[in-house]
Amino acid sequence: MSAITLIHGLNLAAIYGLMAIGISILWSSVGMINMAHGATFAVSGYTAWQVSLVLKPIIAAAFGNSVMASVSMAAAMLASGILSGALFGLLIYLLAYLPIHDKANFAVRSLIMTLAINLATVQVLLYLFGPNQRGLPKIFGFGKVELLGVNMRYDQIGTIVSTFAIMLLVLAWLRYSRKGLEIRAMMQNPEGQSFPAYPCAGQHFPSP
Amino acid sequence: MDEVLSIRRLNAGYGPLRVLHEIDFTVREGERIGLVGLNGHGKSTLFRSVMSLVGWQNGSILFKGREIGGSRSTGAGRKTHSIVRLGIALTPQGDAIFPGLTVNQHLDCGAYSRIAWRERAKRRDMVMDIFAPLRKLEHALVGTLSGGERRMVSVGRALMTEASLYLIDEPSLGLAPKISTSVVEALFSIPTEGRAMVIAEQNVALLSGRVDRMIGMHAGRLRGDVGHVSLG
Repeated sequence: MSAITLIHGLNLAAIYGLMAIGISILWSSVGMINMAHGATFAVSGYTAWQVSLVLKPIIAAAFGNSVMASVSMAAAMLASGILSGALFGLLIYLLAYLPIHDKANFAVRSLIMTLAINLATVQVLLYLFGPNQRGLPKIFGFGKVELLGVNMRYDQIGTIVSTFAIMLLVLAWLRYSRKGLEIRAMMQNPEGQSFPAYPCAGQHFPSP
Repeated sequence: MDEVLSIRRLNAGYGPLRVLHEIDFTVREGERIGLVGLNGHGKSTLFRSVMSLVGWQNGSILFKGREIGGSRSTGAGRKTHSIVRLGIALTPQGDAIFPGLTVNQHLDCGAYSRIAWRERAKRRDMVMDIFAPLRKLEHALVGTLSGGERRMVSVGRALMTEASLYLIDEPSLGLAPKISTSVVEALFSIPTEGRAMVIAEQNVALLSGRVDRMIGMHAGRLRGDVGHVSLG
Protein backbone atom coordinates (compact mmCIF):
# COMPACT_ATOMS: atom_id res chain seq x y z
CA MET A 1 0.00 0.00 0.00
CA SER A 2 1.50 3.26 -1.01
CA ALA A 3 1.74 6.23 1.30
CA ILE A 4 -0.46 8.24 -1.08
CA THR A 5 -3.29 5.75 -0.60
CA LEU A 6 -2.83 6.06 3.12
CA ILE A 7 -3.11 9.85 2.98
CA HIS A 8 -6.21 9.69 0.79
CA GLY A 9 -7.69 7.11 3.16
CA LEU A 10 -6.94 9.27 6.18
CA ASN A 11 -8.53 12.25 4.47
CA LEU A 12 -11.72 10.35 3.72
CA ALA A 13 -11.72 8.70 7.15
CA ALA A 14 -11.47 12.14 8.73
CA ILE A 15 -14.55 13.35 6.86
CA TYR A 16 -16.55 10.24 7.75
CA GLY A 17 -15.27 10.38 11.32
CA LEU A 18 -16.54 13.92 11.62
CA MET A 19 -19.99 12.81 10.52
CA ALA A 20 -19.87 9.79 12.82
CA ILE A 21 -19.48 12.01 15.90
CA GLY A 22 -22.95 13.44 15.44
CA ILE A 23 -24.57 10.12 14.56
CA SER A 24 -23.08 8.30 17.53
CA ILE A 25 -23.90 10.99 20.11
CA LEU A 26 -27.49 11.10 18.91
CA TRP A 27 -27.88 7.33 18.82
CA SER A 28 -26.36 6.70 22.22
CA SER A 29 -28.06 9.57 24.01
CA VAL A 30 -31.64 9.68 22.71
CA GLY A 31 -31.68 6.37 20.81
CA MET A 32 -32.40 7.95 17.46
CA ILE A 33 -30.89 6.63 14.24
CA ASN A 34 -30.61 9.79 12.24
CA MET A 35 -30.62 8.79 8.58
CA ALA A 36 -30.87 12.47 7.65
CA HIS A 37 -27.43 13.22 9.04
CA GLY A 38 -25.91 13.03 5.57
CA ALA A 39 -28.59 15.37 4.27
CA THR A 40 -27.66 17.83 7.01
CA PHE A 41 -24.08 17.79 5.76
CA ALA A 42 -25.23 18.23 2.17
CA VAL A 43 -27.44 21.18 3.10
CA SER A 44 -24.57 22.75 5.05
CA GLY A 45 -22.19 22.19 2.15
CA TYR A 46 -24.51 23.64 -0.48
CA THR A 47 -25.33 26.64 1.72
CA ALA A 48 -21.64 27.34 2.33
CA TRP A 49 -21.02 27.04 -1.41
CA GLN A 50 -23.87 29.43 -2.27
CA VAL A 51 -22.69 31.91 0.35
CA SER A 52 -19.14 31.69 -1.03
CA LEU A 53 -20.44 32.44 -4.56
CA VAL A 54 -22.31 35.50 -3.31
CA LEU A 55 -19.47 36.75 -1.13
CA LYS A 56 -16.59 36.09 -3.55
CA PRO A 57 -16.82 39.41 -5.47
CA ILE A 58 -17.56 41.37 -2.29
CA ILE A 59 -14.56 39.93 -0.44
CA ALA A 60 -12.34 40.35 -3.50
CA ALA A 61 -13.35 44.02 -3.70
CA ALA A 62 -12.72 44.60 -0.02
CA PHE A 63 -9.52 42.65 0.62
CA GLY A 64 -8.13 41.77 -2.81
CA ASN A 65 -5.93 38.71 -2.68
CA SER A 66 -4.65 39.16 0.86
CA VAL A 67 -4.72 36.72 3.80
CA MET A 68 -7.70 38.65 5.17
CA ALA A 69 -9.67 37.58 2.10
CA SER A 70 -9.04 33.89 2.83
CA VAL A 71 -9.76 34.34 6.53
CA SER A 72 -13.04 36.19 5.96
CA MET A 73 -14.12 33.66 3.32
CA ALA A 74 -13.32 30.80 5.71
CA ALA A 75 -15.25 32.49 8.52
CA ALA A 76 -18.26 33.16 6.30
CA MET A 77 -18.34 29.57 5.03
CA LEU A 78 -17.93 28.13 8.49
CA ALA A 79 -20.67 30.34 9.92
CA SER A 80 -23.11 29.70 7.08
CA GLY A 81 -22.41 25.94 7.13
CA ILE A 82 -22.93 25.69 10.88
CA LEU A 83 -26.03 27.88 10.85
CA SER A 84 -27.73 26.03 8.02
CA GLY A 85 -26.81 22.68 9.57
CA ALA A 86 -28.30 23.82 12.87
CA LEU A 87 -31.50 25.02 11.17
CA PHE A 88 -31.81 21.72 9.32
CA GLY A 89 -31.21 19.91 12.63
CA LEU A 90 -34.07 21.93 14.10
CA LEU A 91 -36.28 20.78 11.24
CA ILE A 92 -35.37 17.14 11.95
CA TYR A 93 -36.10 17.73 15.63
CA LEU A 94 -39.52 19.22 14.86
CA LEU A 95 -40.50 16.54 12.32
CA ALA A 96 -38.78 13.37 13.44
CA TYR A 97 -38.20 13.73 17.17
CA LEU A 98 -40.74 15.88 18.96
CA PRO A 99 -43.95 14.26 17.65
CA ILE A 100 -42.79 10.67 18.17
CA HIS A 101 -40.16 10.62 20.93
CA ASP A 102 -42.57 9.25 23.52
CA LYS A 103 -44.23 6.72 21.23
CA ALA A 104 -43.48 3.01 21.15
CA ASN A 105 -40.74 1.86 18.78
CA PHE A 106 -39.21 5.31 18.65
CA ALA A 107 -35.97 4.01 17.10
CA VAL A 108 -37.74 2.49 14.09
CA ARG A 109 -40.18 5.36 13.69
CA SER A 110 -37.41 7.93 13.77
CA LEU A 111 -35.38 5.85 11.33
CA ILE A 112 -38.26 5.89 8.84
CA MET A 113 -38.95 9.60 9.35
CA THR A 114 -35.32 10.62 8.97
CA LEU A 115 -34.89 8.34 5.94
CA ALA A 116 -37.85 10.12 4.34
CA ILE A 117 -36.37 13.52 5.18
CA ASN A 118 -33.04 12.37 3.75
CA LEU A 119 -34.55 11.13 0.46
CA ALA A 120 -36.66 14.27 0.05
CA THR A 121 -33.74 16.58 0.77
CA VAL A 122 -31.40 14.77 -1.61
CA GLN A 123 -33.99 15.00 -4.40
CA VAL A 124 -34.56 18.70 -3.74
CA LEU A 125 -30.81 19.35 -3.81
CA LEU A 126 -30.45 17.36 -7.05
CA TYR A 127 -33.32 19.33 -8.57
CA LEU A 128 -31.84 22.66 -7.52
CA PHE A 129 -28.15 22.07 -8.17
CA GLY A 130 -27.91 19.08 -10.48
CA PRO A 131 -25.76 16.00 -10.13
CA ASN A 132 -22.36 17.62 -10.74
CA GLN A 133 -19.80 18.04 -7.99
CA ARG A 134 -19.27 21.56 -6.70
CA GLY A 135 -16.01 22.73 -5.25
CA LEU A 136 -15.91 24.89 -2.15
CA PRO A 137 -13.22 27.57 -2.04
CA LYS A 138 -9.99 26.07 -0.72
CA ILE A 139 -9.93 27.71 2.66
CA PHE A 140 -6.70 25.96 3.61
CA GLY A 141 -5.00 27.41 0.53
CA PHE A 142 -3.51 25.87 -2.62
CA GLY A 143 -0.32 23.92 -2.67
CA LYS A 144 1.45 20.84 -1.47
CA VAL A 145 3.96 20.04 1.16
CA GLU A 146 6.23 17.02 1.41
CA LEU A 147 5.84 15.16 4.67
CA LEU A 148 7.92 11.99 5.29
CA GLY A 149 8.48 11.60 1.58
CA VAL A 150 4.81 11.98 0.67
CA ASN A 151 3.20 14.93 -1.04
CA MET A 152 0.21 16.16 0.89
CA ARG A 153 -2.18 18.87 -0.24
CA TYR A 154 -2.95 21.69 2.18
CA ASP A 155 -6.65 20.84 2.18
CA GLN A 156 -5.88 17.21 3.10
CA ILE A 157 -3.72 18.34 6.00
CA GLY A 158 -6.39 20.85 7.00
CA THR A 159 -9.16 18.24 6.94
CA ILE A 160 -7.22 15.67 8.93
CA VAL A 161 -5.90 18.14 11.51
CA SER A 162 -9.24 19.88 12.04
CA THR A 163 -11.07 16.57 12.40
CA PHE A 164 -8.64 15.48 15.10
CA ALA A 165 -9.00 18.86 16.79
CA ILE A 166 -12.81 18.64 16.69
CA MET A 167 -12.74 15.07 18.01
CA LEU A 168 -10.50 16.11 20.91
CA LEU A 169 -12.79 19.07 21.64
CA VAL A 170 -15.87 16.82 21.66
CA LEU A 171 -14.07 14.36 23.93
CA ALA A 172 -13.11 17.14 26.34
CA TRP A 173 -16.64 18.53 26.21
CA LEU A 174 -18.14 15.13 27.00
CA ARG A 175 -15.67 14.56 29.80
CA TYR A 176 -15.56 17.88 31.58
CA SER A 177 -18.69 19.92 30.84
CA ARG A 178 -22.05 19.70 32.57
CA LYS A 179 -23.85 18.84 29.34
CA GLY A 180 -21.24 16.18 28.67
CA LEU A 181 -21.86 14.63 32.06
CA GLU A 182 -25.58 14.55 31.32
CA ILE A 183 -25.05 12.94 27.92
CA ARG A 184 -22.79 10.28 29.39
CA ALA A 185 -25.39 9.59 32.06
CA MET A 186 -28.03 9.17 29.36
CA MET A 187 -25.77 6.84 27.40
CA GLN A 188 -25.32 4.60 30.40
CA ASN A 189 -28.86 4.16 31.53
CA PRO A 190 -31.10 3.24 28.63
CA GLU A 191 -34.08 3.41 30.98
CA GLY A 192 -33.24 7.04 31.53
CA GLN A 193 -34.08 7.75 27.91
CA SER A 194 -37.69 6.88 28.39
CA PHE A 195 -37.88 7.89 32.01
CA PRO A 196 -36.62 11.41 32.50
CA ALA A 197 -37.51 11.41 36.16
CA TYR A 198 -33.88 11.77 36.86
CA PRO A 199 -33.38 15.49 37.02
CA CYS A 200 -30.21 15.15 35.02
CA ALA A 201 -31.61 13.09 32.20
CA GLY A 202 -34.74 15.22 32.00
CA GLN A 203 -32.76 17.91 30.30
CA HIS A 204 -32.51 15.86 27.18
CA PHE A 205 -36.19 16.16 26.59
CA PRO A 206 -36.38 19.80 25.60
CA SER A 207 -39.70 21.44 26.18
CA PRO A 208 -41.57 22.31 23.01
CA MET B 1 -48.64 25.06 58.31
CA ASP B 2 -48.46 25.96 54.64
CA GLU B 3 -49.52 23.46 52.07
CA VAL B 4 -46.63 22.36 49.88
CA LEU B 5 -48.61 20.02 47.70
CA SER B 6 -52.33 19.89 47.21
CA ILE B 7 -53.84 17.31 44.88
CA ARG B 8 -57.54 17.41 44.01
CA ARG B 9 -59.51 14.83 42.03
CA LEU B 10 -56.47 13.38 40.33
CA ASN B 11 -56.98 10.58 37.81
CA ALA B 12 -54.07 9.09 35.95
CA GLY B 13 -53.06 6.06 33.97
CA TYR B 14 -51.34 4.59 30.97
CA GLY B 15 -53.27 4.17 27.71
CA PRO B 16 -56.60 2.46 28.41
CA LEU B 17 -55.51 1.59 31.94
CA ARG B 18 -56.72 3.88 34.71
CA VAL B 19 -54.48 3.58 37.75
CA LEU B 20 -55.42 6.51 40.00
CA HIS B 21 -59.05 7.24 40.90
CA GLU B 22 -60.08 10.66 42.24
CA ILE B 23 -57.09 11.17 44.50
CA ASP B 24 -57.25 13.98 47.08
CA PHE B 25 -53.98 14.42 48.87
CA THR B 26 -52.30 17.23 50.77
CA VAL B 27 -48.75 17.60 52.04
CA ARG B 28 -47.88 20.39 54.47
CA GLU B 29 -44.55 21.97 55.14
CA GLY B 30 -42.39 20.08 57.62
CA GLU B 31 -44.30 16.83 57.20
CA ARG B 32 -42.96 13.37 56.66
CA ILE B 33 -45.64 11.19 55.14
CA GLY B 34 -45.60 7.46 54.62
CA LEU B 35 -47.56 6.19 51.63
CA VAL B 36 -48.08 2.50 52.12
CA GLY B 37 -49.70 -0.12 49.97
CA LEU B 38 -49.06 -3.26 48.03
CA ASN B 39 -47.27 -3.58 44.75
CA GLY B 40 -49.24 -2.31 41.78
CA HIS B 41 -51.74 -0.18 43.70
CA GLY B 42 -50.62 3.20 42.38
CA LYS B 43 -47.98 4.59 44.76
CA SER B 44 -45.40 5.09 42.03
CA THR B 45 -48.05 6.33 39.60
CA LEU B 46 -49.06 9.00 42.12
CA PHE B 47 -45.44 10.18 42.31
CA ARG B 48 -45.04 9.96 38.56
CA SER B 49 -48.16 12.00 37.93
CA VAL B 50 -46.86 14.75 40.24
CA MET B 51 -43.76 14.79 38.02
CA SER B 52 -45.94 14.68 34.87
CA LEU B 53 -44.51 11.32 33.84
CA VAL B 54 -47.58 9.12 33.41
CA GLY B 55 -49.27 8.41 30.09
CA TRP B 56 -52.27 10.62 30.82
CA GLN B 57 -53.65 12.51 33.79
CA ASN B 58 -56.32 14.97 34.79
CA GLY B 59 -57.09 16.83 37.98
CA SER B 60 -55.44 19.61 39.90
CA ILE B 61 -51.95 19.39 41.40
CA LEU B 62 -51.02 22.57 43.22
CA PHE B 63 -47.39 22.92 44.29
CA LYS B 64 -47.06 25.90 46.63
CA GLY B 65 -50.19 27.35 45.08
CA ARG B 66 -49.00 26.89 41.52
CA GLU B 67 -50.82 24.54 39.17
CA ILE B 68 -48.55 21.82 37.78
CA GLY B 69 -51.26 19.29 36.95
CA GLY B 70 -54.17 19.75 34.59
CA SER B 71 -55.33 17.50 31.82
CA ARG B 72 -52.76 15.87 29.63
CA SER B 73 -52.84 12.81 27.42
CA THR B 74 -49.51 13.01 25.59
CA GLY B 75 -46.02 14.30 26.13
CA ALA B 76 -45.07 12.41 29.28
CA GLY B 77 -41.91 13.94 30.68
CA ARG B 78 -42.06 17.18 28.74
CA LYS B 79 -42.84 19.25 31.81
CA THR B 80 -40.72 17.23 34.22
CA HIS B 81 -37.61 19.38 34.06
CA SER B 82 -39.54 22.52 34.93
CA ILE B 83 -41.27 20.71 37.80
CA VAL B 84 -37.84 19.68 39.12
CA ARG B 85 -36.79 23.30 38.82
CA LEU B 86 -39.83 24.41 40.84
CA GLY B 87 -38.55 22.29 43.72
CA ILE B 88 -39.79 18.70 43.62
CA ALA B 89 -37.25 15.89 43.64
CA LEU B 90 -38.15 12.30 42.88
CA THR B 91 -36.10 9.24 43.69
CA PRO B 92 -37.41 6.63 41.29
CA GLN B 93 -38.06 3.08 42.31
CA GLY B 94 -35.14 0.68 42.15
CA ASP B 95 -31.62 1.56 41.27
CA ALA B 96 -31.78 4.50 38.96
CA ILE B 97 -28.10 4.61 38.36
CA PHE B 98 -25.58 5.26 35.66
CA PRO B 99 -23.07 2.45 36.22
CA GLY B 100 -20.08 4.01 34.46
CA LEU B 101 -20.13 7.30 36.38
CA THR B 102 -18.36 7.80 39.69
CA VAL B 103 -20.32 8.57 42.84
CA ASN B 104 -19.32 12.23 42.63
CA GLN B 105 -20.34 12.55 38.98
CA HIS B 106 -23.57 10.77 39.72
CA LEU B 107 -24.43 13.18 42.50
CA ASP B 108 -23.50 16.13 40.27
CA CYS B 109 -26.15 14.92 37.83
CA GLY B 110 -28.76 15.75 40.43
CA ALA B 111 -27.60 19.34 40.92
CA TYR B 112 -30.15 20.56 38.44
CA SER B 113 -30.77 24.20 39.23
CA ARG B 114 -28.11 26.75 38.47
CA ILE B 115 -27.52 27.46 42.15
CA ALA B 116 -27.30 23.76 42.97
CA TRP B 117 -24.75 23.26 40.20
CA ARG B 118 -22.62 26.14 41.47
CA GLU B 119 -22.74 24.79 45.00
CA ARG B 120 -22.40 21.14 44.00
CA ALA B 121 -19.25 20.48 46.04
CA LYS B 122 -20.95 21.79 49.20
CA ARG B 123 -24.07 19.81 48.45
CA ARG B 124 -22.11 16.62 47.80
CA ASP B 125 -20.54 17.13 51.18
CA MET B 126 -24.00 17.42 52.75
CA VAL B 127 -25.14 14.20 51.06
CA MET B 128 -21.99 12.44 52.27
CA ASP B 129 -22.80 13.62 55.81
CA ILE B 130 -26.19 11.97 55.55
CA PHE B 131 -24.95 8.83 53.80
CA ALA B 132 -21.58 8.41 55.52
CA PRO B 133 -20.55 5.17 53.73
CA LEU B 134 -20.40 7.09 50.44
CA ARG B 135 -17.56 9.34 51.58
CA LYS B 136 -14.84 6.78 50.98
CA LEU B 137 -16.41 5.76 47.67
CA GLU B 138 -16.41 9.22 46.05
CA HIS B 139 -14.37 8.10 43.06
CA ALA B 140 -15.71 4.58 42.77
CA LEU B 141 -17.84 3.65 39.78
CA VAL B 142 -21.47 3.37 40.82
CA GLY B 143 -21.81 0.05 38.96
CA THR B 144 -19.34 -1.54 41.36
CA LEU B 145 -21.21 -0.56 44.54
CA SER B 146 -23.41 -2.80 46.65
CA GLY B 147 -27.22 -2.54 46.51
CA GLY B 148 -27.47 -0.42 49.65
CA GLU B 149 -24.74 1.95 48.54
CA ARG B 150 -26.37 2.32 45.15
CA ARG B 151 -29.67 3.19 46.79
CA MET B 152 -27.86 5.80 48.87
CA VAL B 153 -26.42 7.31 45.69
CA SER B 154 -29.85 7.25 44.08
CA VAL B 155 -31.51 9.02 47.03
CA GLY B 156 -28.49 11.30 47.43
CA ARG B 157 -28.90 12.53 43.89
CA ALA B 158 -32.41 13.74 44.64
CA LEU B 159 -31.02 15.60 47.65
CA MET B 160 -28.61 17.53 45.43
CA THR B 161 -31.40 19.70 44.01
CA GLU B 162 -32.94 22.54 45.91
CA ALA B 163 -36.23 20.89 46.59
CA SER B 164 -38.98 21.63 49.05
CA LEU B 165 -40.72 18.34 48.38
CA TYR B 166 -38.96 15.00 48.21
CA LEU B 167 -40.78 12.01 46.78
CA ILE B 168 -38.90 8.84 47.69
CA ASP B 169 -40.20 5.73 45.96
CA GLU B 170 -39.62 2.49 47.88
CA PRO B 171 -36.23 3.12 49.43
CA SER B 172 -36.10 -0.42 50.81
CA LEU B 173 -36.94 -2.25 47.58
CA GLY B 174 -34.69 -5.24 47.06
CA LEU B 175 -32.43 -4.47 50.01
CA ALA B 176 -31.58 -6.71 52.95
CA PRO B 177 -33.55 -5.69 56.09
CA LYS B 178 -30.47 -4.37 57.91
CA ILE B 179 -29.39 -2.27 54.93
CA SER B 180 -32.87 -0.94 54.23
CA THR B 181 -33.08 0.14 57.88
CA SER B 182 -29.85 2.09 57.55
CA VAL B 183 -31.03 3.76 54.32
CA VAL B 184 -34.34 4.74 55.94
CA GLU B 185 -32.50 5.91 59.11
CA ALA B 186 -30.43 8.20 56.91
CA LEU B 187 -33.61 9.48 55.22
CA PHE B 188 -35.11 10.38 58.57
CA SER B 189 -31.98 12.27 59.55
CA ILE B 190 -32.67 14.81 56.79
CA PRO B 191 -34.12 17.92 58.43
CA THR B 192 -37.60 18.77 57.21
CA GLU B 193 -37.73 22.47 58.13
CA GLY B 194 -39.24 24.27 55.20
CA ARG B 195 -39.54 21.03 53.28
CA ALA B 196 -41.68 17.96 53.17
CA MET B 197 -41.05 14.35 52.32
CA VAL B 198 -43.32 11.59 51.09
CA ILE B 199 -41.97 8.06 51.26
CA ALA B 200 -43.75 5.28 49.39
CA GLU B 201 -43.10 1.97 51.04
CA GLN B 202 -44.49 -1.55 51.22
CA ASN B 203 -42.81 -2.33 54.49
CA VAL B 204 -45.01 -0.53 57.04
CA ALA B 205 -42.77 -1.58 59.93
CA LEU B 206 -39.90 0.46 58.51
CA LEU B 207 -41.89 3.68 58.77
CA SER B 208 -43.96 2.94 61.84
CA GLY B 209 -43.82 5.57 64.54
CA ARG B 210 -41.50 7.76 62.55
CA VAL B 211 -43.72 9.55 60.07
CA ASP B 212 -46.23 12.30 60.84
CA ARG B 213 -48.96 10.65 58.81
CA MET B 214 -49.35 7.27 57.25
CA ILE B 215 -51.69 6.95 54.28
CA GLY B 216 -52.75 3.69 52.75
CA MET B 217 -53.16 3.18 49.06
CA HIS B 218 -55.35 0.46 47.62
CA ALA B 219 -56.46 -0.10 44.02
CA GLY B 220 -55.59 3.45 43.00
CA ARG B 221 -57.46 5.10 45.88
CA LEU B 222 -56.18 6.59 49.10
CA ARG B 223 -57.58 4.61 52.01
CA GLY B 224 -57.57 6.32 55.34
CA ASP B 225 -55.20 8.80 56.76
CA VAL B 226 -54.19 7.14 59.99
CA GLY B 227 -51.91 9.79 61.40
CA HIS B 228 -49.13 8.76 63.71
CA VAL B 229 -48.79 5.02 63.72
CA SER B 230 -46.57 2.85 65.79
CA LEU B 231 -46.44 -0.88 65.41
CA GLY B 232 -44.58 -1.01 68.77
